[in-house]
Formats: sequence, structure tokens, C-alpha cells
Amino acid sequence: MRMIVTKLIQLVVVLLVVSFLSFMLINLLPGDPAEVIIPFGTPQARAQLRHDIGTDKPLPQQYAHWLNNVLHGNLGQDYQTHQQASTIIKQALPKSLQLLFYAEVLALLIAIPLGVFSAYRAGSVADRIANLTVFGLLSVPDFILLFLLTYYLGVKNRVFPVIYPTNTSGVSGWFKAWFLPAASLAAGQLAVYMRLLRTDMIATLQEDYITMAKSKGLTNGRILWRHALRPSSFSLLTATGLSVGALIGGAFIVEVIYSIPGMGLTLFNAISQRQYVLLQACVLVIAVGYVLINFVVDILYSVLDPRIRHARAAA
Amino acid sequence: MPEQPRSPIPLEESIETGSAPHGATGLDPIPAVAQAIAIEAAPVHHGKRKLGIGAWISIVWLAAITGSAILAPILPIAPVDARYPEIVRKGPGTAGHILGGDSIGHDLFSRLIWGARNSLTVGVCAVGIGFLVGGLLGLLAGYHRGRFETVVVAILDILLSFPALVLALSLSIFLRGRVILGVQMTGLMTVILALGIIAIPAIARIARASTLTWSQREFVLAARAQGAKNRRIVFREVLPNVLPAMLSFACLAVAVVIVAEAALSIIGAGIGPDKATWGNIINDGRGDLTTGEAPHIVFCASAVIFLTVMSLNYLGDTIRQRFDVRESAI
Repeated sequence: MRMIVTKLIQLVVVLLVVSFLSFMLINLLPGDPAEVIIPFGTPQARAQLRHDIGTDKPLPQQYAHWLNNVLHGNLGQDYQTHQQASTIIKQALPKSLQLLFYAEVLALLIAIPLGVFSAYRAGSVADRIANLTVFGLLSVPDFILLFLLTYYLGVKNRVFPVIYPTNTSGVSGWFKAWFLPAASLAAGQLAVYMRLLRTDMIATLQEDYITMAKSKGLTNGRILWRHALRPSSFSLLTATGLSVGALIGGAFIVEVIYSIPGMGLTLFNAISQRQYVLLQACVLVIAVGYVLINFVVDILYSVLDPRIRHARAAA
Repeated sequence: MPEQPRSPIPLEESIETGSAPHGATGLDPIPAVAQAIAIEAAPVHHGKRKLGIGAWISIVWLAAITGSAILAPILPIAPVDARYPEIVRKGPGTAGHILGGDSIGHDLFSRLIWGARNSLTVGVCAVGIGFLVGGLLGLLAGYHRGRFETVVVAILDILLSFPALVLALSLSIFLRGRVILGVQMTGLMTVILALGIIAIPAIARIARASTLTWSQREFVLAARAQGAKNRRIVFREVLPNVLPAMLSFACLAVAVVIVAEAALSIIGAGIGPDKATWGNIINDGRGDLTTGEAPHIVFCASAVIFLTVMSLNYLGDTIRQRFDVRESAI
């Protein structure tokens, strides 16, 4: 319990710093917002504008004002387009989450059976081939995989769309529309998951209770799936949680290439069109999401793994 | 007599759990990934001091790509900016141009070699910055402990709480065109500095974790008993032992930075749109891939990135195994 309270205090501090850095981003960027809004305005008009949007006040006061707005769900309004950043993000975030979910499920669906199998047949030819393939997958950046898949499955054989379709019909349409980007993101995750599971599983299979289960005459399948998998999946769980966090920001190159209107593309557009308020909002949302997910994983990990729990209790 | 390192918790405990009293949660994202990459990738050579075939292939590839990058100006290849209208979108095997041309008629082969020059420069320099700053911070934090360590770890945690590519992108926008220490930042310097800053926390963590275990060893105690100064102990006793772990991580880091540079180029925040980099080649060829007209542009650049990244990963892994770098090596 004490550990959770300490972690919560740490979380609040980190969130405050993260929000402050996101806030500072807009102040550090080149260019005065007042000049962006009225490029040819008189100095008086600009001064008036600075007063209106509050950029003439001291920084701490601006930050407090901004933070208050953010906590009330108001992420600011763009100076040029006058769109609410929160409205844009509300549309973009679900897209990114769908991609994330699809990719993770795909990766786990392949990684778990593969990891269990190669641990069971550790050292065999099949295990080596699986390991080499996976090592290769680790070295392929997601965007390169996306290009390869796009060309062979989208351009040469028109199985999947080469760019994100704006309207999809039905469940199969949904699966098709997201498959290429999700698969290219899943490949890297899959490699990490499979390796972690394999290593942990090999260790678990050395345990006495596995020998016991074997001597009781349980089938291999039952031993692997019912007895060995769960105690071997702590690292896998952690890695999944962490990569969900990492993908929030890391998927954005894939989003940009495949034109998925998610957080990544929004961020990219905000940068290229110099919509700093939107940029700030995106960075804030992504970073806060990342911090929160890492926090949850951290807590879950220590709840699930008795070794960590006891090490901390002893400390 | 130098003072004993101060520590908020008993030292034995921090050794046993292999983690620090604060900050490290057993969940460090970077080491977790690095470990995942490193787990039994190369065949284990028990006691043998011979390099495997994979390691040799990696070394030969990296040597070839580095050599041609350095020698690019004197190699008998087409000039980097020369355009040949007759080879626009022509595939590999065109007479006089081994890999053919890109979408505006550059010689793809020469473009790739000049691209290696930029991409490798970014990779090596950025990791160099991360190595110098991060390594020093980690080493000092791990050795001196106390309040200094608390502050360093807090800063690292905060840097790590931003998604790396988002932070790199923000930094690269922020730094572009600024004057820093009296130097006008060019596109190349911007990207190097941005990616270097990203590399600092991960490298610092590795260095600190490694230093924590090594500085508890008997030979450090012996050196201290003989009256060695802290500076001598850190640089002559601890550093040589920490270096292999950092070196193996540096190989992985160069690979990550090369990919990140390509990613930044693809979204238009790289070292400049007209410069030859692997990322720019991919970005320029994207359109011809989706139309199916000239997929070789993207494929050639992708293959070069893939081989380089794979070699660096494999080599980093080999180094790790050779020195048997384990955080719990006590």
C-alpha cells in the first residue's frame, strides 16, 4: 500500500513536469503567436492581441491558467483555424487506439504459440529457424515493413488497400483497412514478445513441479498451456504494457505513411502547418497517456509477481 | 581517505535486488527492449574466442558501408546531384548505373553511398553525444550516489517519460536554425543534437546500473584502501569494466538512431529535403512505390537500412556475449 502511495506521488510530480514541458514547447518555439495571427498588424494591434490571448502575462501565471483549462478538458483553440484542439483530438485518438489494439492482438496471437512451441522444442531446427526469423524481424523498421507489405499485398496483388480508406463497410472491411499498418507494427512487437516468452518458459520448464506434472502423466499440451504458461508470462505482460505505451507515440510514422487520421497524422499536420496549440495538445495527450500506461504496468507488475512484491516489502 | 559513498539504503540491498533505491522499478523500458533484442540471438560460443560467420558478415558489411561513405568523394561514382534524364525511374541493371535511377534521375547507387555518409554521420555523432554525456552522468551518479544521483535519475525519468520520437521531433523543430554556443544550427547538426539528447537517458541508465554493481567489487575497495583518489577509481577501475556493456548498447543505439533519422526524414523533419539520406531516398520514392512504377527506389534504400541495422544488432549482441555482460554479474 505504501508503495502505491509513493508511486502515486511520483506520478503526480512527473505529470506536472510533463505538462509544464508541453506548455513550454509553445513558448520556446520560434515565432510570436501574435505575429502568426496578424502577420501585417501594427505593433499596437499586436500588443492588444497579446493582452487578449494572455501571452503578455508572466510565465507561471500563463501556465496556471493553461493547466486549469486543460484540467477542464479545454486544450486550447488554434490561432489560425480557430478549431478546438480537444475536438480534433477526440476524433483522432480512437483511430490510433484501434490501430494499437489491432497490432497488439495480432502480435500476441502469433507470439504466444510460437514462444511456447520454441521453448518446448528449444534447440531444435524449428526453434532455430523461428529465432533467426524473429531476429530478422527485430531489425526491420516498421515503416520498411509497411512499404514491403503495401507493394506486395496492395499494389501487385490488390488484397489490401494501399492507403487508409476513408469509409469501410462491415467487419471484414474494418479488418482489411487496418491490416497492413497493424501487421507492420505487430512484427516488431511479436519478435520481442516471442523472445521474452521463450526465455521465461525455458526457465519454467526446468522447475520441479513440471517434472511432477510429467510424472503424473499429464499430456504435454496440458503441462505447457495450463501449468507453464501463466508463471512464464510476467515479462510478456510487462513488455506488452510498455509497448502499448511506446506505440502511442511510436506508431505515428506508420500513421503518416498510411494516412490514418490518428494522433500521429494530427501531430504531423500540426507541425507542418505550424498549428502550435494543436501540436502542444497532441504532445501533452501522448506523453500523459504514455506516463499513465507505464504507471499502470508498474503497479500491475508488482501486484502479479510475488517476487517483486516481497522485494519491495522487504525494502 | 576518500569518504565512503553515501547511500540512503543499505548497500547490500541494492546489490541483491540489482536495482537502485529509487527510480529503477525493474521496468526500465530501454534495458527491457535491449535485453529482448539481446537474448540468445547469436550462437553461444562456450569459451571459444572465435567470431561466428554472422559476426564476420556484419563486420564486412559495416566496414564496406563505412568505407564507401568516407571515400564517397573520390569513388568512381556519379556525382551526387547529377541528373540523368534517361534513367528516371529505371530499375537496377541500367547500363552505367548499377541500381538505376530515382524519380528525378539521380543515380541511385551514388545516392545511397552519399546517403550512407549522412546517415552514418548522424548515427555515430548522436550516439557519441549520448555516450559522452549519458555515460559520464551514469558513471558519476552510480559511483557517488547521494543527492547527485537522485537529481540525475529524476531528470532521466522525466526525459524517458516522453515518447522518444515525439521528443526528437519537438527538439528538431525547436533547435532548427537556432544559434547555439555561437554556431548556427544546420539541418545536420539539428538532427544530431536532437537524437543525441534522446540517446542520453538510455545510455546513462545502462552506465549507472553497471557502475552500481562494479563499484561494490573488492578491487574498488582495494584501490580505495591503497589511497587512490575518486577520479582514479572511477576512470581507471570502474570505467574499463562498464565500457563493454555500454559498447554493446552503443551498437544497438546507432541502429536505433539510423532508423530514427530515416523516420524524421520521411515526415519531413530530417536534415533537409534535398540532402541525400536513406530516409530522403525512401521518402522521394514513396509515390513510385504505391503507383507500382518504380518500387526499386524504396526497396534498395530499405535493404541498405535493414542490413546496416541487422549488422549493428548482431554485433552488439556478440559484444555482449563476449564480455558476458550481465547486470547481476557478482
